[in-house]
Parts: sequence; structure tokens; C-alpha cells
Amino acid sequence: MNAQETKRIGYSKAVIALVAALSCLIIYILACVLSPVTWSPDSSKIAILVTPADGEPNVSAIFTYDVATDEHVLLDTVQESGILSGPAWSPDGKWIAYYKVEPPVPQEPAPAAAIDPNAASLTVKSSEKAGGEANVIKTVEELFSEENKMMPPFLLEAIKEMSAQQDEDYETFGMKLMVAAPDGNQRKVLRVMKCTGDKDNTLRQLFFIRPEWSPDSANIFHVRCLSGGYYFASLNRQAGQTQVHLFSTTGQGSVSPDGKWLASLLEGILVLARIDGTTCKYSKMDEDLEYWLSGWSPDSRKLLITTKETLVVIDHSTGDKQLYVDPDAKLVGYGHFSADGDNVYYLATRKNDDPNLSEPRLDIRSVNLNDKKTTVLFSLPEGVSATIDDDSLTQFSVSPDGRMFLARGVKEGKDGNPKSILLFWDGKTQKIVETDPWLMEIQHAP
Amino acid sequence: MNTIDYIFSFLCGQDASRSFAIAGQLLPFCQRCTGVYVGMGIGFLYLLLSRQYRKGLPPLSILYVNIASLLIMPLFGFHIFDPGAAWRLWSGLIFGNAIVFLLLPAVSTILNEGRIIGHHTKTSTLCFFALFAFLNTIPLWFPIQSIYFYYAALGVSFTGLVCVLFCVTAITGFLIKKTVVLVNLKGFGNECARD
Repeated sequence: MNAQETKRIGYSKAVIALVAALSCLIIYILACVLSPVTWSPDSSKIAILVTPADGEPNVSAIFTYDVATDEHVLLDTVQESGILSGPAWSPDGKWIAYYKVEPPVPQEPAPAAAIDPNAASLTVKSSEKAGGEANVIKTVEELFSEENKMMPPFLLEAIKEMSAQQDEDYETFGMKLMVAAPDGNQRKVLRVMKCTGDKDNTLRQLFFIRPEWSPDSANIFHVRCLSGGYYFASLNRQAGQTQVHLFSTTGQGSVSPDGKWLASLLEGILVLARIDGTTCKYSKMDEDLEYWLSGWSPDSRKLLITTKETLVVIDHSTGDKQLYVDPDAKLVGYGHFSADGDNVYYLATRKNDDPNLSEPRLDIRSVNLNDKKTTVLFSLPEGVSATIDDDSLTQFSVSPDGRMFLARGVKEGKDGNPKSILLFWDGKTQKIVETDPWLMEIQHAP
Repeated sequence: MNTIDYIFSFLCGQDASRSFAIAGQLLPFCQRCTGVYVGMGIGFLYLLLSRQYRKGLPPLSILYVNIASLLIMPLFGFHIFDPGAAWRLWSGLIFGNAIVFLLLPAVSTILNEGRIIGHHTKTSTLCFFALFAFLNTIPLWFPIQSIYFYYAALGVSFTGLVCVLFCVTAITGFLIKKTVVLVNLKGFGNECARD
């Protein structure tokens, strides 16, 4: 074999090796990029309930906002005493679910004859239209007519009995479970639920709750308000079937990432219900504390619950409870597990030794769940205020890809008036977006 | 999203639930891609520093290991087996290493038009297996929770990516040069030009 032939063979082998290596790499990259990922789209966009900074909204609206392009799209709005809940983006990215209570429309009082005096009566305090439905409720049976189809009979009887024993007058209102397309072009009412109880309190609570989606986007977990309490049900969007899962006093629910568990709080008890209905676990908490259900770890084993001073991580398989106290924080809230489940991100007000500083400073912090070491990731800029210790609309969340933090707060404008803002932080740079102009656009729209 | 995140978004699904977080920072690629790019980066640095790439394609013993490493990927890459993060990293590491051990010598040989400089010895083969053994130990200790390690992992991964880009650019340049020479200087019809 001469040198020329050796070179030619070597050249051919090299070409084969090159083609093989590049082909393998390209196939791998394509497979990795195109493989289905479970990110919800809100890593690039957010869906958010926007209300004016003064806290007494005459208009509130749900928008989607593209973090990169600054484009915002109106999904739904209500005026005056109507209310919208926080939105929840479906894991497949196609829909955004939320609750809506339309503002009351004054109507003629219902004729007395329409109410059967012999039935287990519910006195209708006000007459309003909700979602086009008049809410004149005659009997307990009528109020719970939907539950006949989805609730075990003994639970239904218990609820009826509880409602019939109520001394005070009932006020009923319709709460819609809605879904909207992220582009704002489509909106559907999935259910209209008759709710009872103190309307003002219930509506205030609606700000802090939102529906939840199953990981496959097939089911929406929603609440129905009943005289100060809630029950969680799931609605299968294709079959239209509803199933009741658990009772709650907070209306906050959280579906585990593996889609097997639903968690909520019932007074001082953490309730965990298997979504298939086979198991229900109860874990007693300290009754004196006010708990906020923050969410699940990515492996669906641990639940994060926050009080005002501590983060509580509960391993539901072992029942093990771990308390994390940030020694440098006065108040903590809005905890989120990191993508690897080893850290919890949260918002904290700093302990301030300087009495001249009236406004508490807020930090985005993280605690390592293994060594309990806390780290300040980012301090919210001076002039941005947010509160953790009351029912404010402060919000803090982490994008599902773990790369973007969002805090909602208030910033004093140049005219001295407070402005609602969204503060995005990607670990290096911050971006502040004022949301009040979005509401002005609605109010001034023709 | 920073620049590195953006670059790797074209190369990786970036599933955060399957990405390593080092000292609170999430790597901009999934666990398997971390293995692929780190494997390529380590292999590239080894070949470059030892100048093994100039000796042509590796001997058969190394070639068989590399082919086996490439063939393992479909089993793990298409989730036929998915035993956890360490295995994802491992399958990526040996895959990336195999790619570079084929790609770099092949590009060198093509650019030198079949000429190779030097020959593989027993020592060079042993060095490859030592490197391969080291790669196999990485999933046992990866990642170290230090911000320096985060930047090191990012740097090595970026080196792996640069290696592939360098190879593709070099081959593209070589092909363009050949084509220009063929078309402009000698013409398609010239039999001598083809040789």
C-alpha cells in the first residue's frame, strides 16, 4: 500500500468519523430541544391580577405580560364591586383559569310567594344577577343541587345540615369558574357556582386564591364558598364531571407536581387528599399560628407552609416537620421551592436597627434545606414597599424554570402617589413595570 | 435570560426540573446536556494539550469504546432507561467524550488531506482509558456546591461547545476553499482538478 493510498483511506475514514460524530450530536440536540418539556409558559410571560395601588379598586383586570417584549394583553376585567381572583396558567399553556364574581345588578325584590315557606328555607338577603343567573334560592336542596351528582351522600347531608342550622340570613352570589386563552381572544365560563356566606369577606379572600390545574391540564381544581368555608372539587374539562376532594377554611389549595395529591388547610389542620379519592391524611398544626400554604417540592414529597416568622417543610410520606427560621428576618412569606428542591426562596422583611427608617426593607432570600443556611439573594430597591404581615396584595413568585423572580409591590411615583409595580429580577438585572397605566387603558377605552 | 441561557436554549430543552443547581445557580442546560458539553470540553482540552488529535483516528480499542458510548445514548436519551440524575450525567459525559474523540482527529485528518502526524502508542491508549475512567467517576461527586465550581462547569461546557463550533467552522471553511479552488481556478471539466 503506497503513501497516496494510505492517505486516501485515512481521509475516507476521517470523513466517515466526522459524519458519524456530527450526525449523532445533531440527533441528540434535536431530541433534547424538541422533547416535550413541562414548563408552563409563564417563564416568559406572566398572568397577573392587576388592581390599583390604593387597595380599593374600582376596576381590576387580569393581564398577561411578556417579560421580554413588555407587551401586555387584557384577558378579563370587572368594575366596582365585582371581583377577579388570581389567575392560574394551565401546564400546557393553552388556558388561564380564574374565578370571577360579576358586580351586582340591582333588581326588583323577589316576590314573597316565590319562596316556599314549608321548605327548609334560606332567606335571600339580596337579589343580584351573577353570570346571567338570578340567585333566588328557595331551599337548601336547590342550593346544593349540583352536589347531588358529585359528593358522597353522607358529606352532602352534613353540609345541608350545617347550612340549615345557620342562624343568620344567607347571602348568595354566583361565582364563575372561567378560562381565557392567553392571547385574550377567547373566554369561557366553565361553571357558575352558587356561593353563600359573608360576601365581602369571601370576595376579599378571592384575591388570595386561584384555581389549580392538574399536571396534564385535564382537570381544574376549584373551590366553592359555603358560609365561611370552602370545598375543593375537580372539574374534568372533557367529560364535564366534577368530583369533591376536601374541605378547607382558607380556600388555598395546591396540587402536587405528580398530580396525585391535593393539599389545603382546614383551620389548624393540614389536609392531604389523594386525588383518586383513596386516602386522606390530616396533620395537626399549631392552632395559634396563621398558615399560608405555599406549595410542593418538585418531587411531590414535601409541602411548604409559611407562617409570618417561619417556613415549615412537611414530608408527607414520613410526617417529618422541619422548621426554618431566618434569624435576620422579621417577617417571612411567599415561599417557593427551588427547581432542585434543595432551597426555598421567600420574601422577608429585614430586622431594622435604625429607628429612623420607617419603611421596612424587603429581601428575596433563600434557605438551604440541608444546612439551614440563609442567603440574601436580592434587596428590593429603596422606595419599593410591600407588606407581608397583612392581607395585602403583595405577591412573590419564581418562574418555573427558576430563572426569574417576580415581586409585586408599591412604589411612590414622582407625584407622590403610590403606583403598583411588578419587579422582575433574573439574578443579575432588575426590571420594574408599572401596572396602573394598564388599568387606565381599560377605563379610557371607548 | 442571560446570553449563555439564550445560546443554550437552541441546544437544550432546559428542563429546570432536570438541571443541576450549583450554589443556588441553575445551569443553563439539562443534566444530560451538562454531561455532553462537559465531556466534550474535557475531551477537547485533553486532545488539544496532548496533541493526540494530529495522530489520526484513535486505535480500534478506543474506537470500540467510543462507538459503544454513542450507542448507549439512545437508551438513555430517549428515556428507555432513566434511573436518575447521575446516570443522565454519566450517559452525557461518555457520549460527549466519544463525539470529540471522533470529531477532532477526523477534522484534523481532513484538513491535512489525509496526512497524519505521529502514531498512537500504548501510552496514549492508556492515557485515553485513564481519562475515560476519570469521566466515569464524575457522576459520583458532581456537582460541588461552590460558585467557583458553577463557573468552572459553565466554562468547561462552553469549551465543549466551542470545540464543536470550531470543527464545524473549520470543515465548512475547508469545503468552501476546495469548492472555490475547484470552480474558479481549474473548472469543473478539468480532470486534473479532481485529483
